[in-house]
Amino acid sequence: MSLSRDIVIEVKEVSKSYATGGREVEVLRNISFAAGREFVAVLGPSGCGKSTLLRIIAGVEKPSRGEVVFHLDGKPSIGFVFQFPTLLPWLTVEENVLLPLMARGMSKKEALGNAYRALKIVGLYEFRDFYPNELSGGMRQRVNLARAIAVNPDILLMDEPFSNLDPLTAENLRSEILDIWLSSLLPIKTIIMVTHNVEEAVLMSDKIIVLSPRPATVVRIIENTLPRPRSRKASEVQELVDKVYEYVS
Amino acid sequence: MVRFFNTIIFGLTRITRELDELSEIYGVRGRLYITKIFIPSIMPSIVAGSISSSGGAWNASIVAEHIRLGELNIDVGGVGSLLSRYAEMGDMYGVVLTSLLMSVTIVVINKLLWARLVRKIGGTYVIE
Repeated sequence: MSLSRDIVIEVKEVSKSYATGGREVEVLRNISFAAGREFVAVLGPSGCGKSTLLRIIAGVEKPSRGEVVFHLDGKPSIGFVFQFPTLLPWLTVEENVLLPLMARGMSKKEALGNAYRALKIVGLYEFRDFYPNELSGGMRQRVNLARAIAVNPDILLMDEPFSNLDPLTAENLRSEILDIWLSSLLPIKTIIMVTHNVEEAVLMSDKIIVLSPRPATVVRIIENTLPRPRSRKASEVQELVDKVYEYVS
Repeated sequence: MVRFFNTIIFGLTRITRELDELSEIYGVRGRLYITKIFIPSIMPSIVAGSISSSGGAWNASIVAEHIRLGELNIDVGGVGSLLSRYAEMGDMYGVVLTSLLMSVTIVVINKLLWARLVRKIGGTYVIE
């Protein structure tokens, strides 16, 4: 594909094993794929090591073998949306979003600018002085998202971001994230989303990487070129969902 | 003091995997980690430890205020010594009145200081 020209991330033969209780447990085996300026969904059964892969891409965990290469100028800026909101209950919404920016040594003024912009994008600017326990689950997850996009990420990593929301809230947040992504409001080049939801992967992504159960290997890489906006009910969406289900099972 | 430290050490386990992950991913380290994550997350334990150790300290100091060992007579004054001397003299009225005064003082301290602290901490510092 033409994408090979501007590849952003290359995951090269990444393997990961843990030693637990004297035994070696292999989690990832020879995972290879490349991602360009696109929305990538990593699809696999729960507990197959998808989150570990994401942590390796984020650079907080070292692969046992293989490497992750970024084709960017300088160090990549990475935003991370956690599966759970992971907010500090003693900080306000604004302070929670500011925390990663302060960790990067940004000046207070610049950090506030970034935080406010991110909060406006997710529609929580008016709630900036609230504490997390005063917000609904969906709102907390949006703060999680705001925190990730406030760092002006080149790459946005999402770890099953909708799996703990009720279906309606999840649906809203999905379309909000797609809007942010498609509007090019932010300099995000690549989104990598880990999920176990086939429909979600088909509706959102440009590329689906199907992983097998432990140890995770790449079963298939599917280019998803369905036109957007995609409707759950459209027959071509349904066809692709069925096709992907075959690879998953 | 021992009780205080014990409770704080229990508090260390409160720094959950989740918060670790957050600080890892976003590189929250050093002073920022200490002030924004470490200290607040052990706050409930600090308060619990303070309450339990101050109660203990209060008990001990009241008992210690008046000691009579044969010829040795130590009296540093205060509500504990008052209570103890009334008891020695067999002054029931004095004992009841002093106890009542002491109870009221404790309740007031609880209401004004500890209950407020617990409410504040319980509201925002406890991780679900």
